Amino acid sequence: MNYLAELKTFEKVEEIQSSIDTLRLRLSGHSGGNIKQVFENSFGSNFVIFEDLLRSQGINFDDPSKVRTFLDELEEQVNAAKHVELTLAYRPDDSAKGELINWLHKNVSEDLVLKLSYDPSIVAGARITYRGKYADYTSRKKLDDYFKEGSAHV
Amino acid sequence: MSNIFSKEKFEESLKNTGEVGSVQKVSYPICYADGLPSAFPYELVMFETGEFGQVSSASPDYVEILSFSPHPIDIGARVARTGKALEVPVGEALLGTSVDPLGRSLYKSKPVGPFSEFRGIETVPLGIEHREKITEPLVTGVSIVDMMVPLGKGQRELVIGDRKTGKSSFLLQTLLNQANQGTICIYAAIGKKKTDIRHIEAFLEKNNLGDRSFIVASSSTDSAGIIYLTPYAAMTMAEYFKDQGKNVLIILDDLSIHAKFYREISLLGKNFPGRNSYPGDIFYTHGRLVERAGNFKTPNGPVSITCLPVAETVEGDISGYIQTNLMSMTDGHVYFDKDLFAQGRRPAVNFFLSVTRVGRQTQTSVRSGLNRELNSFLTLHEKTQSFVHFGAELSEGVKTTLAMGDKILDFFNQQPDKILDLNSQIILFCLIWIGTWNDKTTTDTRVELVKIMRAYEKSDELQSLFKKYVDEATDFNALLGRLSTESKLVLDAIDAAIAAQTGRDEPEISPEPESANGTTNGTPLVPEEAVNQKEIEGQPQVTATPVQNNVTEQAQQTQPSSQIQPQQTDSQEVANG
Repeated sequence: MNYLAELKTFEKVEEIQSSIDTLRLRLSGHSGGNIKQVFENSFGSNFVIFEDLLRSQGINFDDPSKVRTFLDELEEQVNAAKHVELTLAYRPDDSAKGELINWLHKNVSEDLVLKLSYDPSIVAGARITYRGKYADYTSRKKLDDYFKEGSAHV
Repeated sequence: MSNIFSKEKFEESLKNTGEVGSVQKVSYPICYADGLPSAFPYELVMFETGEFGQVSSASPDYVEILSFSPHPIDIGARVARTGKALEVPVGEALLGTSVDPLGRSLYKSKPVGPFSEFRGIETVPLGIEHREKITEPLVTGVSIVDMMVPLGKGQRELVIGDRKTGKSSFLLQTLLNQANQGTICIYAAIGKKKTDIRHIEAFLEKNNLGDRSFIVASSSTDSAGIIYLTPYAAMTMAEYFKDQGKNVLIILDDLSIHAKFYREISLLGKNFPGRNSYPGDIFYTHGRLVERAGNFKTPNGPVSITCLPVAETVEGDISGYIQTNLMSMTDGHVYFDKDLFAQGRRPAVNFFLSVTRVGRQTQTSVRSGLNRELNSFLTLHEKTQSFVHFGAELSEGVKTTLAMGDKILDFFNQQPDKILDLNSQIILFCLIWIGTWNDKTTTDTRVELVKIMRAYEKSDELQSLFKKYVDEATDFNALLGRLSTESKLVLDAIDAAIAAQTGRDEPEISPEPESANGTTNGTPLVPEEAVNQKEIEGQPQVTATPVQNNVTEQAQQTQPSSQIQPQQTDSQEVANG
């Protein structure tokens, strides 16, 4: 099961990583009772994602061993997630983010997690980092190159 | 150099290589970064903070980087490849400077450079076809070493001993003497205290050695990565000067500290620990370094890199892991003995435990004869001293041996800031050996010797006379024979030089000793002030006796023992037998 398809952004991945840590702590001291409540408290707004994931796996909240196995698998996948870092000159809205993510999942890989950052100094275009490769398609670079070339002629 | 550390430089590296990583885990000074898919071992990488690091290993998931930053790199910091292995700047501009292993000045107010050439710090040592037999002597200016443990240019001689036994003083004396002879001298201070580095700088400044020497230093507060690099960077710089056709002396002070820092790095890098927790490649780490020194063939004749690595021992234990490693990869060792130091011997070289494997082949017949004679006599003296401990009544022969041995050992005592010319070492020793000062005590002989040494430094006539005697001698016995027959001529020349010297110096004489206890740097020698004062007051002045003298005044006035002494008494023959 590819859980990452549901996560999509780097912020979400970080949230989930933090939630998994919290959940592990709480479950270690949990002596029975309502595990679902513990999940809800740990994951907050992300609980819906987890509930869906668990349901799709046929895992019941009352089965702690299966829940722990699920958490281990989830953590492994989250830690192994490949990030695409994208630096833009503006802050995209949610629909633009969604389009970006969908395009990446469709054209590159479903395992990708998007890490967006904002730097107005690049003027336009984007800086992209993926699996250690770095590409600069920004207007700033073009302008820098243009001015360097110009100053060489002067 | 400050622009190297700018963010622009980082961005430039990023654009050039098109690869970036981010620090995921830090075990300072090691850090692990993801990304950098094409990074290769020993590649120089740059962090976005402007700090440098070196790739120590690479795996599909992460790259292990040895950071040169003085503080830990932040998690998440970006890192870029530079596309080249670690290089250091080399050139004449290094002379007279103090630089760190990356070629940056230790002082912001004294920038170094510019440099037109950069060289990788890891090079493969030249093979045997590029090397020549060591034939040129390397004179240290320290009589006990030059006479008992002679060195050659291109030799790798380990300097080993406990802390505070005079190793550094010996190294600086050697550096001074070699720099005076035109050799390029490099002092690599590895993980030293800043005060120690400053002391070396002050020594070079005081002796105006700026145009022939420089310091490559890492402080104990620097990153372990920087400390680890120090000897390699210094050796790379030495190789540059060697390629320019200049003889080089490189001092690596010290490799036992280097080994400790390399152990720290290796353990943090999760390398499997071996003996004493040192990594398995510790021998290779030092071996590939000292192997880069030697005597090399060039179209214009041989050019040498003489390497003096230093190793510190604990409580005189020379059988330690690193110490024995270094002994086995060098051409001998000079051992500084803490017991001899405690007895007042300066320098405290234990020549019985010192070894020189190639130095003797560089000696002239005079020096080699002298060395042979001294070795056998001092062995006899040592045995005789052991015999004396039984409290037996001593024969005249034994007393003579003891007296002569004490005088020779006292002759070997040398102030840390003084160096002795080879010719003066030989002639003065011969004068002692033929019994010129047999009627004087050891202390009075020392006073005479100090006067002669002072006169010799200033008198061209005396220098040329000593040189003539040494150059014209076919072997040691011939020199002794000639000095015996012409001793009056030599002593007259010496007296004339002393008289001229005394005349020049008299207005400057200060009867005050340098320190309250009359010692210089803790060295209980007969100071020059004592000599001056004696001249003024016309009476003997004894301030210190370096070596315990077990013989009576009467015994000291007898003829010394020697197999080659022109006139021998029966008792001497007994002693020699």
